[in-house]
Amino acid sequence: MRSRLFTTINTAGQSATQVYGRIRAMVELFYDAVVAFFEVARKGTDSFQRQIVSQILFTGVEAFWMIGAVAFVCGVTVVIQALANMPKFGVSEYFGKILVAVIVRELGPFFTSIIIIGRSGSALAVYIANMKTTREVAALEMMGINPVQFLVMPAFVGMIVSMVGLSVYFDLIGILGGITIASLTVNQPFDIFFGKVIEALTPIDIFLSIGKNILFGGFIAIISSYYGLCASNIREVPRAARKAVVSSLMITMSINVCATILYYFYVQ
Amino acid sequence: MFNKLTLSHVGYALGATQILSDINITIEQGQRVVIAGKSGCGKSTLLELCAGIRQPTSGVLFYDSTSLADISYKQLLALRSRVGFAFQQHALIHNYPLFDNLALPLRYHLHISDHEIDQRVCEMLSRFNLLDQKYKLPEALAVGQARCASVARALIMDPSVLFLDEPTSSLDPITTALIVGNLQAFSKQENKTLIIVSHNTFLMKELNCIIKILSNGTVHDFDPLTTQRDSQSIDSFLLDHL
Repeated sequence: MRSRLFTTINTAGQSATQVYGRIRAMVELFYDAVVAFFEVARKGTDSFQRQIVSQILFTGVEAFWMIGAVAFVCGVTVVIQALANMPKFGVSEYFGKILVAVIVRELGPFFTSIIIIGRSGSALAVYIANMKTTREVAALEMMGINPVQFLVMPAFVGMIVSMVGLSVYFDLIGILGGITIASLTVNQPFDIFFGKVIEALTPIDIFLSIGKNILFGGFIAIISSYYGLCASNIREVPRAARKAVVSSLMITMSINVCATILYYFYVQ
Repeated sequence: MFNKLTLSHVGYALGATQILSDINITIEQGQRVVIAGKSGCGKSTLLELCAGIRQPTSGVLFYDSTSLADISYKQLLALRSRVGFAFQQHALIHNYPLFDNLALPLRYHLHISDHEIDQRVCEMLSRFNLLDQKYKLPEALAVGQARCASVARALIMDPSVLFLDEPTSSLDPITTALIVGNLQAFSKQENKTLIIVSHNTFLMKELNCIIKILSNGTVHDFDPLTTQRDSQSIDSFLLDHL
């Protein structure tokens, strides 16, 4: 009985140490990526600009249609549910507040992050893990090129820029989709609904949405890069992708919940 | 980069497996050294230790009188800009065309114009008969071409020290001669150090290399300056010690 208790405590201790080690390594990677960004911004090295642009193209531009479709469906669903459950009279008064609360503050950043995790976070982890196992990362180091500057920093910057851009795009399509359905269903002009949304939108909503996106983008890039760089053989490549997706989802969900709680305690 | 590379009682273990133990080697600036040995005896590991890719688990590695363990990562990266390394698997950046693979260190380290980068890369590619392949991705290259490209990338910065891991293994004689010819041209320059892992007696003979055989953790030297330098004597030395 005593030895079983000791084993359990020992295992828990080892797991805690491992988790602490991982978090510490990720924080270090985050710090290195930020330092690398400022170094590159100072030096203005051409090859990194290309890396950042290609990351934005892959994460941001190529996900454009998928995000647009999901945003439209979200906007339409939110409005249909709202219309079905709200009193018909004076619906436009609540309409703006609902769309801002659900689409701009919550679903926009969160859905965008889920799509980016599934699409770009996993791809980034596999990309770096493959480079690690084929010795391309070591080759970069042997050329005197810091892999954090060449691989992690462009992903970090590209992911943040793409997340912010895609989330604004998500909000726009979601709101437009919602307004279109609402104006068709309730038979009120489009511009009245649009005016209500603009009226309901406060600087805090915009700040919260952009702040979440910056955090989500940064965390997804660092977590995915970290697991990619941890891979030491070909068997660990799919594991790196899985760990990157699961950890990124956990972190973004936690941030989302914390941000929502803070908002309702301190702002509302 | 350094006048002397010294490995003092260097050992390397991977988990519970001891790969190298108590290795003592000194390589002077301007020397041409080939490390040979049985498969799995740790030649590539030794080369990577010398280049600072791996850290020894015991013993010390010195660049002149500075221990590699005392050099920060940033300093090590700066040192590596004056080092060339060609891996056994070519390790070319897979999503970069051949031209960009060679241009990468130039763009990163040297503030030179695109025109100059273009000139230097094309000149290097033509030395390896790869000029017509310059827009191809590494996956589209044949094994020999990829190996040549890897050596070309290692040479592009005109390094002081060149580390090559099996640069001619499983290549046809023409490609082998092409690589050896380029290595000869490199080694003829003043103070250029060449450290190669290879079993190719043609390469050893042509480059007039000091041969270091790695066997059971011991290093046996075969110095062509003090011994007859022909393929037969190199072969018999290899057979005696492998």
